[in-house]
Amino acid sequence: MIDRRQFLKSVGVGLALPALESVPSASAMGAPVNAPVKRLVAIGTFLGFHTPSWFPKEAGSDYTMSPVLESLDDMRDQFSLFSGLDHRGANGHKNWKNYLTGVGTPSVSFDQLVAKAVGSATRFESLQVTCGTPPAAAQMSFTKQGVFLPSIGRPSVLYSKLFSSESDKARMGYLLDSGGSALDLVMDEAKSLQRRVTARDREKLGEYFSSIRDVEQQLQKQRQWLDKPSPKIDYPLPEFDPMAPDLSLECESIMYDLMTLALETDSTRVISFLVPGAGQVFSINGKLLSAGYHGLSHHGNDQDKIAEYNKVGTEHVRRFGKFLRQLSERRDPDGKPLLDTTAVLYGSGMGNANTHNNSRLPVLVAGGGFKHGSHHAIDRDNPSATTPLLGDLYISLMQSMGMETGQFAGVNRNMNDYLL
Amino acid sequence: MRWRTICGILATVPALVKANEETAIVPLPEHADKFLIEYCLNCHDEEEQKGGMNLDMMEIDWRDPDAATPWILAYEMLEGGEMPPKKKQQPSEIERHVMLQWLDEMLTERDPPGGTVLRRLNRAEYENSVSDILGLRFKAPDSFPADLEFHGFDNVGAGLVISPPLMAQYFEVATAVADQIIPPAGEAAEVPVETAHVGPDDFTLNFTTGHPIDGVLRMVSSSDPLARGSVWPNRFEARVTGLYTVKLDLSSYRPVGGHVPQVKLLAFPPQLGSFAAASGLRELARVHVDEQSAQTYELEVDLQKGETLVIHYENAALNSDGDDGQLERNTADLLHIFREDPLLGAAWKVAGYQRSDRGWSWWNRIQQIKNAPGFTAEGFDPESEEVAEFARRMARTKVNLVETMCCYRFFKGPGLDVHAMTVTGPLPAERRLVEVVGNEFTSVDFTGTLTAEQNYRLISSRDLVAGSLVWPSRFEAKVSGVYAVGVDLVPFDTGNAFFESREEHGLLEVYARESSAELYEPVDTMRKLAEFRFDPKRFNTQEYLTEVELVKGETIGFRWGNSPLYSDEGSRLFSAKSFAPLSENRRIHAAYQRLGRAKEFAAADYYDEVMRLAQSDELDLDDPALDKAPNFETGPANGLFARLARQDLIRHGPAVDIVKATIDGPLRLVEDNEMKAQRLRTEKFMGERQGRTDREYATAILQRFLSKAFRRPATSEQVAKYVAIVIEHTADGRRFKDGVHLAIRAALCSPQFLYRGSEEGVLDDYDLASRLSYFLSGSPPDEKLLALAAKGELSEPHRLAAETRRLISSNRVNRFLDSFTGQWLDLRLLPEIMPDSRLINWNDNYLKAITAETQLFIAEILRENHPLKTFIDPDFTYLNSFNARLYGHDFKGDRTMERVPLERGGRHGGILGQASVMMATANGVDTQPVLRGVWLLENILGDPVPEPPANIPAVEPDTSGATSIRELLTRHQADPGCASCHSKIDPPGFALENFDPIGRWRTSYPIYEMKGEKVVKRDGLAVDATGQLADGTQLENVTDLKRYLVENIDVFAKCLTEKLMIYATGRELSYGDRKEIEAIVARTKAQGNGFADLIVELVLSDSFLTK
Repeated sequence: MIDRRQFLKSVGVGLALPALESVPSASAMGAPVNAPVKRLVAIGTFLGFHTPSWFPKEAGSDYTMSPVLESLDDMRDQFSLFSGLDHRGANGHKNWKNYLTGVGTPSVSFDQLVAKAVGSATRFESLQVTCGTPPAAAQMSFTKQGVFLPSIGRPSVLYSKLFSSESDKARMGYLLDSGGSALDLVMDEAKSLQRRVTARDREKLGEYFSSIRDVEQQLQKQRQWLDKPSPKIDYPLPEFDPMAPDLSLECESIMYDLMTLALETDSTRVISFLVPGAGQVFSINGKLLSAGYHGLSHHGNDQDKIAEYNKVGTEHVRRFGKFLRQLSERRDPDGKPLLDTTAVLYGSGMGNANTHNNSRLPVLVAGGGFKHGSHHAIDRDNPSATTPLLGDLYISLMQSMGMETGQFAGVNRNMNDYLL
Repeated sequence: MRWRTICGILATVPALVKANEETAIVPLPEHADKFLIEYCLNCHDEEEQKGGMNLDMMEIDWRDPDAATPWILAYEMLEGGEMPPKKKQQPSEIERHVMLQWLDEMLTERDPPGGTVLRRLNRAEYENSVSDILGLRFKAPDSFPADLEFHGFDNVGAGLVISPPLMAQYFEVATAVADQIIPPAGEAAEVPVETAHVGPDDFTLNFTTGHPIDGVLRMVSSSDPLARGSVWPNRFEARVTGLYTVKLDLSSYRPVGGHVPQVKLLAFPPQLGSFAAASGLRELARVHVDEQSAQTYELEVDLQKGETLVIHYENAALNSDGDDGQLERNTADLLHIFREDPLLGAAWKVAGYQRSDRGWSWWNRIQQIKNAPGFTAEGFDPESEEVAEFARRMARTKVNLVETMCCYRFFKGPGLDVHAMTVTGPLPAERRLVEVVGNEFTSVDFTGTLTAEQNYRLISSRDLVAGSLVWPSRFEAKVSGVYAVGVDLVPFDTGNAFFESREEHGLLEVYARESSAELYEPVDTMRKLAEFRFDPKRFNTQEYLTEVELVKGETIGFRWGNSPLYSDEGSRLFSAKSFAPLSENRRIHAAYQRLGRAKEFAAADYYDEVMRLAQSDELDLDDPALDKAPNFETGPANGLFARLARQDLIRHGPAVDIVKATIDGPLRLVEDNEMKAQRLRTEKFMGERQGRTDREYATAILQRFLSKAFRRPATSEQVAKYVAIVIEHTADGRRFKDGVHLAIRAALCSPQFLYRGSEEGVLDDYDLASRLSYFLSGSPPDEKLLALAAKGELSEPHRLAAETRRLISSNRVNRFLDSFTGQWLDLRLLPEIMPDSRLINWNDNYLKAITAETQLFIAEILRENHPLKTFIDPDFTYLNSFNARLYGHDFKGDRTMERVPLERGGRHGGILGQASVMMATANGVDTQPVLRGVWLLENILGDPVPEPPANIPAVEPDTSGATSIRELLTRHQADPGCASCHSKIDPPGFALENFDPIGRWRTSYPIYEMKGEKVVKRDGLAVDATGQLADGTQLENVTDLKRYLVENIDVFAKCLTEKLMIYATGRELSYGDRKEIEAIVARTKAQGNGFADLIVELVLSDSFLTK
């Protein structure tokens, strides 16, 4: 049901002025220097997991690893599991995109708030990654203006973005340099226009000036990164991009490798990774599954289907585990294990794919130097004033990165007690 | 005691108050102050601010752009008698009059028509502008931020903000667009030829599209979405655009009844996604698979970069597409299976359908039952009505059933087996020599004939392909390039013919012919490549050779350019002159007259008979009947003489025999169509250099382009700045073209392009052209508008009216209609609303139908200049089978929208009865009369109410059916605070209560109850749509509301004009604008109140003509 006031507004009764989008200055956002966590990776699987096979039966630190998560057992001290968390949001594939925004779009996803705070130090403020061409509803990262950020689904494209060749860089450098003179010209035009117009129009042109200046700064920043040599890496990118839907698990492995490289070379500090899923029929260990992935997710509580759905889930988790191990083996520029200074969120915006229910989401937090090793079972059925929501976890993650965030998506507590 | 404040700006920013202080800040006259204290400030003082209204001031600061707003409202309330409230102390008539007069004078002076702030192009305007000024089809990328709505529209200056992310997008798009005009210099890399081997396991499988079985990939479905009926290799895509060889190893599996699998090979760009329709993809080849052992089919195909190859089994046994016949088809498919395998049928019947049964999981469940020891098919009769009913029930699971039937067909056939696929490419443009001899030419009608020596004899040179051109049947250029074309010919002339021997040189012409060109296409539309002059007297083989350019897909055609049998220019008939040797022969003429049409003779025999008769003594040459001149202007005589001429030329000459033709190439490559289109775009943009210097050339290019981009002639100063960056760029060693590329990028980010309407006061002709054009076509002004503006004639009222009518009658007016009605009537909300599944099994067909109905309806009102009351109570609407169902209309047609007459005064019809509007004002689940009432006041009645007080919760409808919505809302009447607005809101809102959330008529509210597993609907409380409008008009239901509006059409006219004015001028309306609107409404009414007339009057008004 549409809220009454919202409706009245949308039909134009309201006379509110649109707020001019103000750009927070770098210092106000306080790019934190000494925060314990430096990087964020947020991962979501579009078709979720069979949560009864994901949530451990016991709470606390002495839990038995659940079937889907079994391959992570050796890493159990490096992550925390949460059950009973969600945003109390709407259901259905369409509302999957609440996963990182907490509330319906258009609104900002929390990875982008983090990117604004910590992204200025790296070449890419943030990266959005996926595998192949996901379904249209599979959207995860949104800007402050609520604009969906499209993801890169082709390994070779992500690779060349991160480690561009000299000829690519030459063209990009040319466009940036010449773009600077184009901006000078239009700025000049705007100034002469400004002299001719009314006071209100002058005010309006203010938007133009500040936006141009912002773009100029972006150009300068890109230019600086361009002059630095691309990181030299020795990664054998497969000759063929596995773009076909039934190869998306293969693509997933490569994307994790490239994400590790992106963090290791400090090319970015914020990555969101959407693991897509649609009707593709996977072949696992040489055996073709009996139905498409989406069909399996609607298992109708058929045990055979659940078993196969879990096979896919297990494959996702296995690849994720490999990613965590890579992060714990590689070092950040300060010589610390990458995993210790990178907060990794893993889960899904869908709690029960069978019924398209978006509550009780599977949520895992790894790395970041947090207190780990437990399964925190949140009692969603008997909520009290202190029962946390998923947004509270995001607030904690943001705070751990040095951001002074007190609220997000309508919630205003945190889950520091669970993590610190 | 009350406390008065001085306006906030004065207190905080005294520095701003300088020159205009005396005129900008105006104290209230004493009488006004007294009036306010007496009658208004009890509620509307600084403290109370009832309804958000604060009149508590001693002076008005006119520097505040919103200073007029409360006073306009005060004027309207006072004038309409709504304030002071009836229960409060009332001013005398004289007091009221004096106050109104003061307000009117002050507002007329201080808030005149106009005041639009700089308007940025919104997304649609930006797309149309980029497309128009550069001659492209441009769509903004998804990453473009959305525009804000302001005063109900997304084209209002104040709401159109430029934010840093938007600017970044403008900047990025500018480069991408400039690349399309002037592509970056690039070096073509050599791409090695590679072969991809695709085995049965290397295809992308979705659902049950195919199944690896016995070492092959078996297919059995022909569904249109790729994910349901096709397979494609998961590791092959074309690395570059080019030619590829495909080898397909296919066989037919268990064909029955002469089934021959027909396979389509399609080109597929994977970014379209797995649900792309096979029917929408480019077809590369078709093969018929008529062997049960693997056969290799070798094909040569064209692929664009990134495309892969899809195998689609067109005539497979099964199909899950959701068309009209789906249920019957799938029922029949299942019964067919039951007849083939009754045991399976019996097991299936036991298994039934359980939630989420689909494909293999359903199949395995059935198999378990079937394979259980002792299970028999006893009692299962595939022909029984019971089983037929069961099959029909299963078929309702649609795709689930089809995918399960696929499992059966995978074993039983018929099917298609894919053994392997090999793709090799890109093939180098291999030079080939093709030799074409006589019987390898295609020719038609009168062109010529094959001789005994197997030469091709050309005899005529008609102006059509048929009758003049001969071309090789099996050659077309695989790539665009230069080819060497040779021809060996022998002139033929026995000297015994009626036609004179040729003395001057012969002419053999070579044309480029697209294989799709029509046979009756005039020859002069074809590209002439070359001509050979041959000696008509040298009767041994003459050889000719030349080089020609062929575009991919073209073939060559030969024509004897100067045959004695020819047609006049532009005529399909042969020239009467070319028959002269025959028709002027007295004997032949007489023989022709004697034989008449001679239908009984074949062409050759007719010639023989004419010749025999002509030489015999059977003809009486004195008979005047045989002396009539034939009429060659008409077909029969022309045709018959052409036959005679043709036979004579074939037998005796003169003619020319083509012995053979050779085509050798490509010797080198030339651009293909895509490259050519690109080159033409660049050329068109740049124009010819004509020996000018860089500076002169750049000035010419940019003067033209910037004037288009800025929608007015660019000043020499503006052009000079752009020329300067081009010159500077070339001085840096860049190409001249790169400088132009940079200038395009800059112009697309220029404020002159992105904003419109910068000149103050009355619009000059150019700003007027833009305002008019974006208003009615969503695009920049066209050449005609700009030409009128250049002459300063556009602002002449008769011109302006004529141009307005021209735009209204143009196709582009649909952009205005879609955008305006989409926002005014909130049709844009429709795709977001998902009706409750208990109400209806909603699908996109309904959505399309109800949207199209309103669009077509309003388009007709505009096109036909119907009177405004047509909006409310028309005698027509547009229906198809879907929206007709919502209205319970006995419509006989199909999905095509048709204009259907309606009785006036009815429930449906008009914007207060159309499903689109009723749905947009509800939420898909239930209706809320308050929301619809607010909507009507805002959008139809033109009497908006302020926002509801913040501390009062919204009334939640009671869906249990115990309390009616009316009972819930009775407290609106009880509380005077609520009543001040709700007495206006509720009556019209309730009048629409007979319309359910999807616009169907109802007389009671539904109640849903669970009956076991099922949801059952029953009738709840009766709908009560009655009410009373403020003026006392009694409403029984919506028909009374419609009658009220027709009788008081000015109310609606004013509201509609206000909306149009906001949309057209992009501003919140001033007091002066409101006065203008009243005048527009009156003038339009005097002309008959037509909708098109209203728009013309609006355009001619001071409000439209003022910034």
